[in-house]
Amino acid sequence: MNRTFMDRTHGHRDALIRRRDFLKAAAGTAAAAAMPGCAGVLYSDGGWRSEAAILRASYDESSLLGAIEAGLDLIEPPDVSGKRVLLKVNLVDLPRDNRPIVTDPAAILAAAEAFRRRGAAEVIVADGPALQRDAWEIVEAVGLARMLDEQNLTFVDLSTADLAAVPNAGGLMGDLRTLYYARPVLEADVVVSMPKMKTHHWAGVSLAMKNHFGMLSGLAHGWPRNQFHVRNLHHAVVDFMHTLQADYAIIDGVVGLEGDGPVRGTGIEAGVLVMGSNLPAVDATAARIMGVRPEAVDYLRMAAGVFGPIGEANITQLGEPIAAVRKPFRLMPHQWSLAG
Amino acid sequence: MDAATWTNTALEELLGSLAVDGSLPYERGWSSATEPTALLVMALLAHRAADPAVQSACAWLAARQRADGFFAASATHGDRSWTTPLAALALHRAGAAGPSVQTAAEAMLAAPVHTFVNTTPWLYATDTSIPGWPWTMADVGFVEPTAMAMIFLKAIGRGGESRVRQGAALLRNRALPGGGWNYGEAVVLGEPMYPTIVPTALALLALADEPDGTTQAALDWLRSQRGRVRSPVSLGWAAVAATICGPDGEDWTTDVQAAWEAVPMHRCSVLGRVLCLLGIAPRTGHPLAVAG
Repeated sequence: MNRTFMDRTHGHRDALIRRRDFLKAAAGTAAAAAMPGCAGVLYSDGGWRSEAAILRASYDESSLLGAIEAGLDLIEPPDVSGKRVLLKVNLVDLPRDNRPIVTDPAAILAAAEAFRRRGAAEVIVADGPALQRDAWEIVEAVGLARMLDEQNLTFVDLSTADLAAVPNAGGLMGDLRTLYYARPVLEADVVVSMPKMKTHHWAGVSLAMKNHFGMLSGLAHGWPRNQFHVRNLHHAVVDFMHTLQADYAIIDGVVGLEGDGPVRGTGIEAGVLVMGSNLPAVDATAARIMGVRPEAVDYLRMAAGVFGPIGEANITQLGEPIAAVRKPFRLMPHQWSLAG
Repeated sequence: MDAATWTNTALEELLGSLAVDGSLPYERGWSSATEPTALLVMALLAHRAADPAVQSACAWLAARQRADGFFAASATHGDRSWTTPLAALALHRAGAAGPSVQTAAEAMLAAPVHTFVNTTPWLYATDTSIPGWPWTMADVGFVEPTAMAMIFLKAIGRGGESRVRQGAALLRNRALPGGGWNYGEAVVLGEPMYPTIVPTALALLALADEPDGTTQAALDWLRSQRGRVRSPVSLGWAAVAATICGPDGEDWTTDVQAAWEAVPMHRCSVLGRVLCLLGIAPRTGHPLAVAG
């Protein structure tokens, strides 16, 4: 049975609606609280507790599959048996100069295989790249097309796929009251956010929550979905969480991108996958591995207590401890205050 | 197989993807959309103008036009869309004179666009006060929608409009230092961005009748990509631009045919097939040419 955007709020919808007025008020003060030089950044996990799994991995096929299966055992995803799973990967742009800007094809294939072993009837690989309209040029260039063929998997360009209007359940983006999602996202039973672990020159970090951008239609919102950037990128991330969030996250941090992300910058070997079903907890954990204070990232702070926890004390770390894998990513000079 | 036979075979294969109403989707099994249907009309006009599919596709396109002159992007999304100039150009080339094309032109010339002034140079290093055309109404101008609007307005003889001249200025301003265009940000935070095929091809087509050093650098970059372009969509647009803007005799037909044969059907979108056919159309009378 297909799920709807209402289902994906994981039963917390009433709480989300009640908290929305608080969020609107908090948004006004968030920037000031995160300014360089502030002694601390105010946020609350609101009683949330969750967990995130950290797995060491390389791009060796057996290593990846083993790590992903171990992660799925540590934090169970929704039951995928007999269902359609959509892997929302990150293919932001055509990689140039060997910059690791997209979810690695080996990680994508391993995740697909892991969900198939769990009984998924169908696994779809999908994205709506932000910076170029021709998604297939990226899919072909990174070798993903041939690899998908070999595994009898399909790719869907979410930018030009059939779309459906969904009310913006967040309301932080002011007049943008309707969001147009690619219909394959709505029709999937389980959506898995599979981003690259990256720094981002506007957002701070680009992880599982930020990866929601590519679920929206390019036909309706354009490239690079600039409507969301100009209104406030952080508010957009939170609105997307209110409206339709992925059911599970697998962050490809085997080789991440540091510096001028999401498309310039340089590769950095972090050697990990970060996984879990609570996206703020997963993103906060990945941020800590990257040497970024989650509470200094506006959208993560705004998500705290609404969708999950970002405080280390409220996230049970499974697999590797953060300290064992911490690998500070280089940040842009204007983002020095995010480091911690 | 000679070129004519190959083209006919390819056309037949493409026409097999037509919906009963004569429209095309981006991918098989999806809803019909304006961009592939408009490009289909132009591909048919280039190769088989008398085919009845031209009229059915035009009728479908005409039904997508809104009262305000803009066209919707698909059968299922009725908002004003960036596909307006493509649809209107297709109708114009097909001889659909009358209010629909002119109404679309007036809508495009009055389309709201947002501009910024006094942008800190290190942030974008572009003049953000130049309007151009946006992807979505009242957003800022980007390269591809600006180029599409210019191609249409030039094609109907409105190239002298101040909005078109501003569009040309935007394209020149957004050109990458090393040649070519991307979506519309040449430099971000002091770092030059990378050119990509589709925006470069569209911008070249928009400026085809006013070449200069910027277009030559872009054309040089585009031609340097020959043999590296992988997807039929990018290859098709590159071939169109090279045919129309390149030196006499520039012909990417063999590249296009090779891609058509090599890329399996499930990895070649309907849009890609249409663009391949546009990519092998001759320069003279090409529906996307604004000069000559």
